[in-house]
Amino acid sequence: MPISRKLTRLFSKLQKQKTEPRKLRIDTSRSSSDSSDFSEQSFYIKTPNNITSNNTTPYNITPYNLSPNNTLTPFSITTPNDTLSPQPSLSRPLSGTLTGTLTNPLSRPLSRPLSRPLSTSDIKFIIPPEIFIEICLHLAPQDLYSLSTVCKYFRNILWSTSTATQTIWEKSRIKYSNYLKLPPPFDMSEQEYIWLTLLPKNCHFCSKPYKQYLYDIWPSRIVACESCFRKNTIQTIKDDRPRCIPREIFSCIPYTRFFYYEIFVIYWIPDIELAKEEYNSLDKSEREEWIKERREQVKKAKDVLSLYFQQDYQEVYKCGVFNPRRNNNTPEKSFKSYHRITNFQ
Amino acid sequence: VKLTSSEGTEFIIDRKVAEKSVLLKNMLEDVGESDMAIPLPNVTGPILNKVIDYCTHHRDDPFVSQEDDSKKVSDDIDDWDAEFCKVDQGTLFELILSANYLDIKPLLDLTCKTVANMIKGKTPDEIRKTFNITNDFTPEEEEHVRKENEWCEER
Repeated sequence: MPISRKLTRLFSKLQKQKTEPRKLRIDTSRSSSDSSDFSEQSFYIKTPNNITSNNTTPYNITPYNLSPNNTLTPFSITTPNDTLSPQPSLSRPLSGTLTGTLTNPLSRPLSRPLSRPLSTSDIKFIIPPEIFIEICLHLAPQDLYSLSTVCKYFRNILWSTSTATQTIWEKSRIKYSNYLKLPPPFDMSEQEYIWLTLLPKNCHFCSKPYKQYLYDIWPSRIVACESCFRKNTIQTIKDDRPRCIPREIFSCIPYTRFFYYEIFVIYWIPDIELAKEEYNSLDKSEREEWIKERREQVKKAKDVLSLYFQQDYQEVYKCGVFNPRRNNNTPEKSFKSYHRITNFQ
Repeated sequence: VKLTSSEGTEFIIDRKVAEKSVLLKNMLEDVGESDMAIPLPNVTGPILNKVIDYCTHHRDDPFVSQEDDSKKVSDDIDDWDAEFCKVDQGTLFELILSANYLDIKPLLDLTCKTVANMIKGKTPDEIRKTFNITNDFTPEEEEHVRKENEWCEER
């Protein structure tokens, strides 16, 4: 995935949230006051209408589950009542916290299950979805991630933005990480949130094993190693405009910061390029509006995301990774312990 | 209480043992005790035998509420339970299904935990091998999956 595309996606999310429904909205109920939807654990995904226009994004979580009519999509894993299950009578759901609502055998296109070979030794035919969910509730994020790359069936379940799937990841996050206390930010699903915080092992740029470099990842969601970070950013002092950023768009670009030096304002070069490109593609009449809108977005995102930065900050601080007397603030040894603590509590 | 497995084998168990299963408990409450055997067409004899073993061993356990349960981590399986779960995969899955059918929450949890432990710390390939799952991604899809998550994977 080229970085520029990733950035386009990230930024377009910020941009679109005003007018269009976001693609990866988990459930609006969690952030808004109406929380009844979430607590009910209903098995429906709200599929925003812009989903088809948007599915070049790297986290293509929904397409497997997408129903053609683009409306409410039932959680599209088969139910035990599905006639194609080899032991339909055995798997009648009786209990469990997550059963009951999983009873829509028509939710999956019929062509797929028919083409599947029937083999009784296959876990996915024996284990009905609600039991699969039960099993998943005992797994750590890393294991859920591995499981999701095993086969299509698991991926369909674990890659969805349905409430059931979100619950699996959320439970796992709460159980196996002692620092991710906040729910995911407004534009992320549980999966994305967990990947960004607990699972990154490689730098986004060079794909080499990643050693944590302490800066605020939230404005641009880029996880970079130290050398790539240096290569792809411009550092400046607060309110001091770097030459490469035109004056007009200066306040329209999200910026990040180091954990411990608040005085520096850091811009990602791809962010700058993107903003320039967008700005230049607009008519003169549209530009003013764009600047205004963008400024607001940057400000809003900054306010919301600062909470997440605080969360990271506190965790790092607690684990003693930071040592102000060291010249570079990426001590390898402490990072390992930091990672161990966050991953396997 | 008399139970009949799918092959027609009869099992006679204590009411207290039977009541570990919410299904049987409700049934007994509804119809009262009688000489009629309760047919369990979804459970085979050997599996029912295992389930009864479990219920007999845990007959005096207090009923575990949903909330306590969620706090437990999956390693805390006691020795007897661990021994109980040392069965082949087919049996284990059938146990899960019967536990679900008979609505025996602790047994369902135990067996699910066992399966979860089988998954833990494994790579996707190892998981496929363990559960005999075929990788049904097309090469393009697999490439997509790999790229998408490149930076989460260990090298």
